[in-house]
Amino acid sequence: MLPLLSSILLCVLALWLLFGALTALVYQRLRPALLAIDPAQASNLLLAWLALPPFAAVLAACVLYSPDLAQWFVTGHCHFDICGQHGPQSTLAIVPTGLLLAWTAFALGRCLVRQWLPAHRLGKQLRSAGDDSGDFISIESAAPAAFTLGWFRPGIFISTGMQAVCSAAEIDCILHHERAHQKRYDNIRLLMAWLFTAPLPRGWPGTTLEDMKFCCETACDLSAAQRLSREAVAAAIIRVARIQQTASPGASLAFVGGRTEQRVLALLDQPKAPMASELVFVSAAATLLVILALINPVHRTIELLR
Amino acid sequence: MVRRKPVSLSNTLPQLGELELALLKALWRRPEQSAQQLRQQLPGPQQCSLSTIQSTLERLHRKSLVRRKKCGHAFVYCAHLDRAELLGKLLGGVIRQLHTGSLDPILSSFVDFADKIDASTLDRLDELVQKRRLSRLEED
Repeated sequence: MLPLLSSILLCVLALWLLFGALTALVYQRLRPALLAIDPAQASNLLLAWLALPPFAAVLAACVLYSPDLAQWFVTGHCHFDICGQHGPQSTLAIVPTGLLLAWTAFALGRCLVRQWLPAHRLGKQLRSAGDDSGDFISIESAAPAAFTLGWFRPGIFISTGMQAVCSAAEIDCILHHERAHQKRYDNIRLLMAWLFTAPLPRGWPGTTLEDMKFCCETACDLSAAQRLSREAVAAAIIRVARIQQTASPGASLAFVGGRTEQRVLALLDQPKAPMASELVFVSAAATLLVILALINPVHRTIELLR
Repeated sequence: MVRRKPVSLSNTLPQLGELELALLKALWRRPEQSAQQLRQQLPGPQQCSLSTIQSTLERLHRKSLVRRKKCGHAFVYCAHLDRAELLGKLLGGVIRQLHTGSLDPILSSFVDFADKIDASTLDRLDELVQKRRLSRLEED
């Protein structure tokens, strides 16, 4: 029983890493196409892309270890006198499974401790110490800051320092942008994206995570622009960037680039069309086929390790 | 003899629990109160025993967030930091962490603090926005 259980777990964890590496490699090819579509849809597709390694690993393991499903994907072969369908097992799987399992548990735990707990605690502290004005929670501080914090009931926090230096129209832009984060549950999406990629080396999903965050921000900018205007939101972003730069000049080193510039340019560009739903469906089907095509080689590879 | 933990001398704001914040709020509203008086002021869901209040006040004292003086048999407490100072420290901590990028995944800031953008780039972007506004006006 233990070799079977450890083989199944090893299969899931190893495939998670393998699919993580594959998705990171393939992403470089897909990136231009994804960044050229509507940011709201792109952020959804990017989350799905980041969720692919763990879900594909579980799916592949289910197929591998279910005789009824495996008969469709694994070519017939015998081990001594056993010729029936079987899940690949290895007596050597116990040690690597233990190591991989410990690493995965550590990585997921670290992600929750570093992100879930601090946000939960900070949100509680700011909520109870700030003034709830209905639209947002006002924080009595000269430091200019505006952000959305919290997971299931995210709150909008704007410091009195920011309120003092921004016009009513600029505060309106900030509120519409942050309300879009609230409605889209962007903080939860980003946490999920971090959890899906927690056991992978940080460099692998790094670009995808950055792009997802950028797409979430751009989607919220466009949502605010629907209520106001693209120019008004772009001007508010520039204004807040200037205020933050003045407040902490140490952080504003001189080089061009970054997400702020890209966000403003995205607002001034022509609107991007969403990807056709047929194309999304075909891409998902092709991905599923690739996963299923990997079942047989994975089965044989695990058996080679015995 | 009971050995007490040393009073915190750190400049950074320590972690604060819900009851600790509720007690601080009560002290901001009315300074110089005993544990018994504070207990009576807590809202319904946060009602707890006197010993819990006393140990929470002891923790706040160790964190240098309340001062106390002996008044008869009991201690009388008052907040060491006012509300604005505490919030300033709290937000200062958030902004410091935003600069390092460590809070980046857990909150959505309107403009990324960690983004390093220079004044000339912002001027150029401003010009682009103005041009776009003008062309929009001409179109209308």
